[in-house]
Amino acid sequence: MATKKSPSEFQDPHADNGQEGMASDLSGFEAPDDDNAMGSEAVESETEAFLFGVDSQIMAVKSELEKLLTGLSRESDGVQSQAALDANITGVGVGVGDGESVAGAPGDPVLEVYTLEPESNGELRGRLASVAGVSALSDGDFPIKAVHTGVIDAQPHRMRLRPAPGGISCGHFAITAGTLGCLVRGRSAPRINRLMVLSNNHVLANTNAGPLGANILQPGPFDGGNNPADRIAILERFVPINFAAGSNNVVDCATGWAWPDRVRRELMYISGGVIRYFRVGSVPVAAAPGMQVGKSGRTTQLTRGGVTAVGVTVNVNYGGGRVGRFVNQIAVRTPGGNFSAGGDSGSLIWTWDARRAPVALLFAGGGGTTFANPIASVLARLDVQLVT
Amino acid sequence: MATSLPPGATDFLDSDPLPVTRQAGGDAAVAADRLPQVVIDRLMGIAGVDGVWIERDAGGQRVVVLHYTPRGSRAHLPATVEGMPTRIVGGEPIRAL
Repeated sequence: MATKKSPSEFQDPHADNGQEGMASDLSGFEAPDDDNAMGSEAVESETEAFLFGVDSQIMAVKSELEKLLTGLSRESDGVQSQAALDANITGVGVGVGDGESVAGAPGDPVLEVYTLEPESNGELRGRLASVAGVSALSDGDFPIKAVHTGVIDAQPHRMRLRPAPGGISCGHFAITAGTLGCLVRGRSAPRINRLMVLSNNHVLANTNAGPLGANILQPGPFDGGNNPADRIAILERFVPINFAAGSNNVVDCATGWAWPDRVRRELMYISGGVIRYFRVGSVPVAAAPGMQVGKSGRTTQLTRGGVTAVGVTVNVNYGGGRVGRFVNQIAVRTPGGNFSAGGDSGSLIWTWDARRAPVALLFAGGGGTTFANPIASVLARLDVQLVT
Repeated sequence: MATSLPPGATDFLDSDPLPVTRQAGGDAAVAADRLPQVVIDRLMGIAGVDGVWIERDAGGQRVVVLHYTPRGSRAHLPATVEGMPTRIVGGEPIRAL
């Protein structure tokens, strides 16, 4: 079950925690090539198409405000500068108007300005006209919309990170976002030479939709992942989920064939605002009631819980009226909190002890309980072994 | 969003994982934590029941948990299964996360 490591292929595990060097020496694996991937030229840039039709004056003001934001970010030393407070702006973008609160017809492009403090559209327009010196903003009909966001914090498990660790946002190009669980490799040629990311079918394969070769992005599309620029892997294999009445499923899992220089074997977590990395063991263990476990996931990040049940049978909703029955699952709960939430799917669950032995693959939840596939079943069905 | 962990709770993540040593005798305990398939099928056939499993209560006794999604009366759900008391949880569907 465990990955056999050769010195030339894997690095010394005693590398300093949190250092980029830990991810090195995954170079012994073959990278996917474009024959296996969906053609990049087939990916339409809907964003560019939308912006192409936006009024040039809106784009000019947007550009001016982006320069202002750049200047404010240079001034900041971690706290909000006085200039930033004066400008009351945290971001800018192009949205669509409702035809009521903003000048123009419903659906017309409007300049959205994200603010630290609540402010009316008129107040914002007038103040930015003086701060940014943009004459167009003195026009009362300029379509500008204030959107109160407050301070925008980075979401570390949702950011773009290379090489990408386990526990971070990822997903098929057509989904929202899930979690990169960990790395695996095939058990026999040619897949033994492929370094792969492990997650759920509904994260990497868009719930049976595939197709094989589809781009897998980090972060996931909902977290800003762009296709194909943020591609770290291509869909390599998935176990179909059977939604037919009377059918039983055991796993919701898939692999993505990764570029070795775009991923790392460690999992991440945040401590004191700093990204830290850790390794899990390479030998899985079976879950048992009472076992303390942990996971690192895109949404709830690092959490601890307890296995409350094994041999679980559940009906799981996948949207669109699709319900799949899963048997022999594992249930996990965190007293007084949530072990997981939407976006944590695909997280590897491991023993919360010095072994950090893989136990399960998180995929569902409801009513305060998280459900996960036994990791041994996942590895067997995908015919892979862990790379930890 | 993250569940807060007490200081020092993650110190064990800094070292290399320790090897796994196999322990005998786990299979019997696991078997007692599983219901017979025919019982699972019967319980899952009750409208609104979308999950069935065995848990331990605070005293360590096994209880059969029924994940029941609809709100309203639960009087029609069994009070015991295979000699074990039942506990009803849920109130919302189980979803892929």
